[in-house]
Amino acid sequence: MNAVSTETHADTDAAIIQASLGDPDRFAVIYDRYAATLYRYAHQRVGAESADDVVAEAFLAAFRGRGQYDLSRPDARPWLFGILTRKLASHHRKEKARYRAMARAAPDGVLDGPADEVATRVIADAARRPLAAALAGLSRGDRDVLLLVAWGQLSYDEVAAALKIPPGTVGSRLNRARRKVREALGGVDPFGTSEEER
Amino acid sequence: MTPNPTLPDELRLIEEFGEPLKPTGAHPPADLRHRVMHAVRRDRSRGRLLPRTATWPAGARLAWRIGAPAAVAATIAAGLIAGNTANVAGNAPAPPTAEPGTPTPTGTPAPAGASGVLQLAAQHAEATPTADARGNQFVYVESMEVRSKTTKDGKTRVEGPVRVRTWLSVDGTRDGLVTDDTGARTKLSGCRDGLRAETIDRPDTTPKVPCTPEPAYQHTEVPTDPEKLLAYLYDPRDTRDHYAWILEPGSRKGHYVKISEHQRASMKRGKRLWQTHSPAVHGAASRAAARIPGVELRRGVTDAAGRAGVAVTRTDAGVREELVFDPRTYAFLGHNSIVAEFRVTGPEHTGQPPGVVDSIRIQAKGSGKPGDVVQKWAILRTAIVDRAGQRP
Repeated sequence: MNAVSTETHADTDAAIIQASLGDPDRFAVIYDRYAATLYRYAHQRVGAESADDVVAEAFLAAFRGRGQYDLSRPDARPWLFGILTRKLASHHRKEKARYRAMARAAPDGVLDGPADEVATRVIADAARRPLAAALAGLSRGDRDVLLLVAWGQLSYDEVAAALKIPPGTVGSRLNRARRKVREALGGVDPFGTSEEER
Repeated sequence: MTPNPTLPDELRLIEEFGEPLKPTGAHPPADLRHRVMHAVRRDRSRGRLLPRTATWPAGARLAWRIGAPAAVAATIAAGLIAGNTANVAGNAPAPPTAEPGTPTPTGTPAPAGASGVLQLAAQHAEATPTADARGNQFVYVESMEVRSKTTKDGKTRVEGPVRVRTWLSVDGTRDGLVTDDTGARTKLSGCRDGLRAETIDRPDTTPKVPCTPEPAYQHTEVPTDPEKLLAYLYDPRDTRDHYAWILEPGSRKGHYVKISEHQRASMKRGKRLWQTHSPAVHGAASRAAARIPGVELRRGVTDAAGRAGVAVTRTDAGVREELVFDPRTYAFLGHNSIVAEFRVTGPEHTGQPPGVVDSIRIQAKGSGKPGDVVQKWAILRTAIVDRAGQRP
């Protein structure tokens, strides 16, 4: 999955951001490149009610902070995800409550889609409630790292750059988060035969 | 999306867990971009974010996808637009014939029904002299707009009236402009060499798409003969079904509702005639409007500028579109979109419907009661000027 889907020319993000210092309208290019990706991620974390506010706040903060952007980094994605993560922090409680509600909710009754997709989802469905409970139980820092990797599709290095933490910290937070997810699953075997294959 | 095979199992599970949490569409809400860029442009002075727009006139949120100019997006669901737009602010000439009685602003023995009003509106338009306009000039349109908006806490309030100034290219090939009291500025991409930007508000960063120029004061494509105009509005080449997407209050599920061919003809006229301000086209439009089934007369209507008027209305898919005319001169005053009684019946689509999505309407919490304003706009003045941005 690539964050850049509508790129129409070869300018790097850094070049655009630099140009936007003189011409604020140029910042629209950054929006067009990353809005869909950031919105999708925010929507996953805080839902439709808050996603557009969070994304709008993040872009405005990015615009205001563009003077401090490290121009040696051609790709602005980690930088933007870092800003978005800080904006999401103010929705921390709401996000947690949302996962808790999902942990209590009954599984979806009807599944639509191509047969193989449905099959995958039926398998995953058994694990949805404990997974939601696990996400609710994670510390903010651990959850940020876990979801930047799993949903934001960032590499470990990108997460480190986004959150301004050492790569080693990314690894340790991710391991802790994975362990908690595993524990939360407890008796559930989400993959059926996967244990035997190991 | 297929699960990423390189992720360890826990991460893969979390990834799958997140799948149904993704938004349904590939793009963020269209008004989000406007909010962000509006804030960016105003950052030096205030830098506040616009409130989230939850109740839009049909089509506005889709503007970036279907490539309609902003002015048109605001009126894309506009029903019937007729009458002339010049001189409406004050001393408009009286209709040349058909004395309708002794009308007063409220409750008059008006002409027989909607068709009578439309006939008088047509006569008024046809009696209006055509201004001299060169292809490289602009039609300046000064208007008032009222919009319902939803704030962060989900409450709906009606905002405005806001004064809007629009410059439309006379021959349709020059870039137009829309500005308003709040500082918003949107460039309208002109159709040059058969191409224009796909979206209304990001002409510099989106690909160009094929187009036909839409002259604001010359009429090349839009017929001035009522018969031909009617045939043009009921375009037989377009055989696809068209839909509106409606999110009802208190519901998280959107519904695709098919739009009737009559409403589509009305919508097309609204779009074309906001862009074409010549009296001949407006006159023909009023005459054609009388032939579209389902139009009704409504008295005691107020336009966005607070002027009383008589309206010709058409109701479809939960919205009553009102064309407001001066009750004495039958000059065209403006257009209202008002929430009407509506129940979703029949099959509900949650995926892409088998046709074209023409409009999107989101009824926010606490709004959507019949009678609530979705949007109003009223024309105060039109004039011909040399440059986009120049006031007469």
